[in-house]
Amino acid sequence: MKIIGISGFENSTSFKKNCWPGLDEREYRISQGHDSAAALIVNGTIVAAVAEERFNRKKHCGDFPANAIRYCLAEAGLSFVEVDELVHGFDYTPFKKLYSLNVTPKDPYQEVYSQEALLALVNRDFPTYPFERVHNVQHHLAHAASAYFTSGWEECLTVVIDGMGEAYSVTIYHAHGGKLDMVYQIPTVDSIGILYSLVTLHLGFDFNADEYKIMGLAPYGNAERFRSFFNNVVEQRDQGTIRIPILRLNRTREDREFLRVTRSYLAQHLIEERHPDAEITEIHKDVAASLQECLDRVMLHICGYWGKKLGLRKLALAGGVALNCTANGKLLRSELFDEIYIQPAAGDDGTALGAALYRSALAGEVINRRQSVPFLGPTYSTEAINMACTEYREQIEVVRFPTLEETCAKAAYLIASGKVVAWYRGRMEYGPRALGHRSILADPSHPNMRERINSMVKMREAFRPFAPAVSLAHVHQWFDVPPGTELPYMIMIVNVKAEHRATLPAVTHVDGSARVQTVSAKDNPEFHALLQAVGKATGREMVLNTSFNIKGQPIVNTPQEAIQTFLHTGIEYLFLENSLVKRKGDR
Amino acid sequence: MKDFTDVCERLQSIFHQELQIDPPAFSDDLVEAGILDSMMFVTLLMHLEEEFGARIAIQDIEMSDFSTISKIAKLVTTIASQHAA
Repeated sequence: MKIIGISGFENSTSFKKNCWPGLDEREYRISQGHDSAAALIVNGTIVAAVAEERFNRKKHCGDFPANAIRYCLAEAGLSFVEVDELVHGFDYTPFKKLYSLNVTPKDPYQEVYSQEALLALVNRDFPTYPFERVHNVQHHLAHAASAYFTSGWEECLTVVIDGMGEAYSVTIYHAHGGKLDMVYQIPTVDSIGILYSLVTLHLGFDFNADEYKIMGLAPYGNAERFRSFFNNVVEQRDQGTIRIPILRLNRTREDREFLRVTRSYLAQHLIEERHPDAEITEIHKDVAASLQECLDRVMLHICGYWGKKLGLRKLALAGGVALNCTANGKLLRSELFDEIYIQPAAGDDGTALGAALYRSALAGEVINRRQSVPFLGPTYSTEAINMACTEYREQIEVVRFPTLEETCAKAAYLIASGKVVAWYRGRMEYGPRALGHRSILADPSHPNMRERINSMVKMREAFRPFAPAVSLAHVHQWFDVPPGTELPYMIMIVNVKAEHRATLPAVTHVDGSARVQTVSAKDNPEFHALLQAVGKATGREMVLNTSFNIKGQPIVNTPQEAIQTFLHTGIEYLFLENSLVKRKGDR
Repeated sequence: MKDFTDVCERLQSIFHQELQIDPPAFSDDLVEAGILDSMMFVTLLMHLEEEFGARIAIQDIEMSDFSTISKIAKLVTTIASQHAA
């Protein structure tokens, strides 16, 4: 069967704007259905997957993923009518009656969440597609399927933890024999994901977008300062569950939509709200630290309880909270589990893949094997790259290398010389991380490299750390992990060995941790070849690896976007496959 | 009748302790008063299962069964007796 999975709710934010106009733009992000994407499964095999934001250039957008669908079809050489099923990673149908309880100016179920609303969008963009082939999968089931069916395990604990699905914030599954048996759920009114996002908003960042920045800020703070506040606010209960009474304080519809009373509570009992442009001070760092510690505790509590209860030592995770690398690292080091797998597109974009995998598994077609590095997006031919270079010929010079080996040798020389290099090749990554196909690279040993890239290239907050990419064979030499530890998705935090922290200042966080990506010849051969070349030049098969984008924009997709981003930033060299791009006049 | 009153009181306790809603009188209209919204309703269902063993699938609910504490008590009592049988 040919199945396309999709995620996102196009009308979600606009619905809120229509019902409650004139609010701060940041408040409208307290809504469902961001990060739309499409994924194509053919006869049980993942063929393509990509987020819509990479095409329409609207970061975290929830628009109906028409461009992403068209890309998936083109990748497989299919027309849409040949697709057997279109599956959405949400299913609000069982909740239809409940929405009659919500007194709103318009009906959110009908306008946003219903299958009729979805079909209207399908009809708008693909008018000939038969409606009877459109299906829905519950949100957490889609997340769970994305993790279990790419884990390579026959049996495991599968935990989905996010802000909210249709009505739940955590779902525990016992995955075995190709099935996902739901064991327990925690409702949205006790959502640790929503609490984390609310505090993110309270600290002057964006709800449903900037949580990773709070995670990055946390190691600068003192968790003790607000520990008792978060211990009181998030009650750990028996049976691996939690309760967050302050999320139940909202009574009117508007208060519930924007969590106003909870936010007032934070202002009165935690700290006053920080304006986005205000300075980040010690108190903000301490709140971030205490919040992160609280999340770490909750993740260990929930996953630990259910792993023990069900006697399962393998854990597969998905859902937006599973993108929290610090909490994941704590789980990894807890020894509660022998192995942990986190589906790399753990956010809502990943439910496109999960919805398709779930339906494909129902048809008995999915072979459960461990997902390789998710290079599932578009690639561009040499001709397309040459055309892009020609388009910008007044501003750039191009040197073409005949082989990958020579390209890597040149890039390694530049990196070893302290240059900042953009590295663009092959299929784009699925999920939020750049894993070596759309990356900005540099030498992690340069003391001022973090500041240089933060200010010149990424134009982002100075406190945020960068991640190291290291060859799999060498990971244990630099980091506190056993030899051969595979961390290919840059989704876990581990400790840099104490003796190496001073020599890796650009990728070592203030607490001595790093968000490591391991790179192997099997899963990521071209990036591995580059790391080997870098090893010859620097003595370390390691680079600083950050996503090829600037603040507020999605990762670059096309060669044109790569060149534009290169020209508008301080990146010194750009490699488009085997072509080296320099600014005209640069040496 | 004592049992029925006991169920109603346990329901009031769920509203008070778990949902943090001032306990409604047995015959208060929960929907008209805006006491329950969709998310609180889901939470209520979870507590009904925990407290009374009454598992109610969301797609099977009839809103009229949930309009007052008394009606909810009647529903969970019926489900519990079905399970017992």
